[in-house]
Amino acid sequence: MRERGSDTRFAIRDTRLAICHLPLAIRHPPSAIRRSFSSILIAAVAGALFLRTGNLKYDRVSHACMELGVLFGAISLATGMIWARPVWNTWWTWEARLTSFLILWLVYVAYMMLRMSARDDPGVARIAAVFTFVGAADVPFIILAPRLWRGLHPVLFGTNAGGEFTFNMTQPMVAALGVSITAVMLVYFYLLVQRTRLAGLSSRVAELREQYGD
Amino acid sequence: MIFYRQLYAIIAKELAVEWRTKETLSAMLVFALLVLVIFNFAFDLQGVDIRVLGPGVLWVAFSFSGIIGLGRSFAMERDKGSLDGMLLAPVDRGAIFLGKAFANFLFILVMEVITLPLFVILYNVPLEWFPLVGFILMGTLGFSAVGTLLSAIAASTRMREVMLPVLLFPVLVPLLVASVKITQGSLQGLPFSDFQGWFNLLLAYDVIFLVVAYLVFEFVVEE
Repeated sequence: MRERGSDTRFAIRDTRLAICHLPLAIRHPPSAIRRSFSSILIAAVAGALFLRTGNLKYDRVSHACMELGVLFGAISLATGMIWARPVWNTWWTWEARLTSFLILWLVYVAYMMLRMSARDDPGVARIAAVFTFVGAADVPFIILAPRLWRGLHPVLFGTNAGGEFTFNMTQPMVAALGVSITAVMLVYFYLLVQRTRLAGLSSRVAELREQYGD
Repeated sequence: MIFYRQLYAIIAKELAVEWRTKETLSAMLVFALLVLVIFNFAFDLQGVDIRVLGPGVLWVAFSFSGIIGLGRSFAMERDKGSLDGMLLAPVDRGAIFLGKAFANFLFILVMEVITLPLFVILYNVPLEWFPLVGFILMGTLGFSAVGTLLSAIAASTRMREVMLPVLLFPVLVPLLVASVKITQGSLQGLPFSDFQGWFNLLLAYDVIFLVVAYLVFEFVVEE
């Protein structure tokens, strides 16, 4: 009896975790490939606008997107592992979507390294924008390459073997997922706006420092 | 027409520099050989099917050693201030990129031409030369295109030598996976259709990154 009780609780907790995990992952393409738009694509668009206009505002947006990519990616990876441990009985598996996701996350991390290594150089905004293009151009390959292997990620919605559209979720799951996706999306954009504003303020402070001394 | 003359001049300059010093190529060669030797100890490859594990070893050797050459490519120009000279000359930025990328392609190719037979000898690999060499050429093309662009990016940061691998490897993963799979397929003598998916992926990678790198290169070097 006790066993079963804990099983049920386990299952409920796992579902809850999955519902937290999914929208986080969807923020970035590989785990929700065609259905989502991703940080790196916004970052690349903002980067293109920056190169075209020379307006540093776009560079800040691009930078904030990549930073949020690292943050949300890390949370998805962590929650994904916590969920996978009881359900798949392993922390990590080199399954297609997981692998894609990890590689994409490494691209985000590489971008942060690039920003760090040239902190004071004004030219960094330009080369960082170029790197977002390279990253964005790499996205289809990062998705495709591990997919040529195949794996065991739970397919909750998408097409089944016969090519029909399937949707393996119960009504409350759908509702919870919908709320969760919306919430995470709002958090994402809130953080994006705030991070961009903060970057603007700190560069304004630096400007004033330069003008009037400390 | 003038574009090709510029391109030719850049390639000739790269080759002349390398011919006089021979630093980059010799470093790459020694390094590739070291990777082959180290892998033998790390994995004890006696007795396993080398046609399955070998391609991984080979491409790790190619890519690690290639990165050494790519890193030098722009770090050298920055050190001596010769990049500014090149940018001041009335040369198309695209020609600079293509010239550099082609020169890097040649250097990596020379390294591979020497490393591949060493790999065959040291690991006792039964090998069909003809299609494999073509596939390696393709892998190398994409590698040098992305590598040259990221080398230019890395050279304008403070920690150049460290930055290049950090930036390049995540972007390079699909190309390396495809190259390893294709090499595996052709070493095992599988029919082409078995790894055609990988071949298409590699082809698309080459084309897209050549174009993207060519188009965005001017933003990297512009001061």
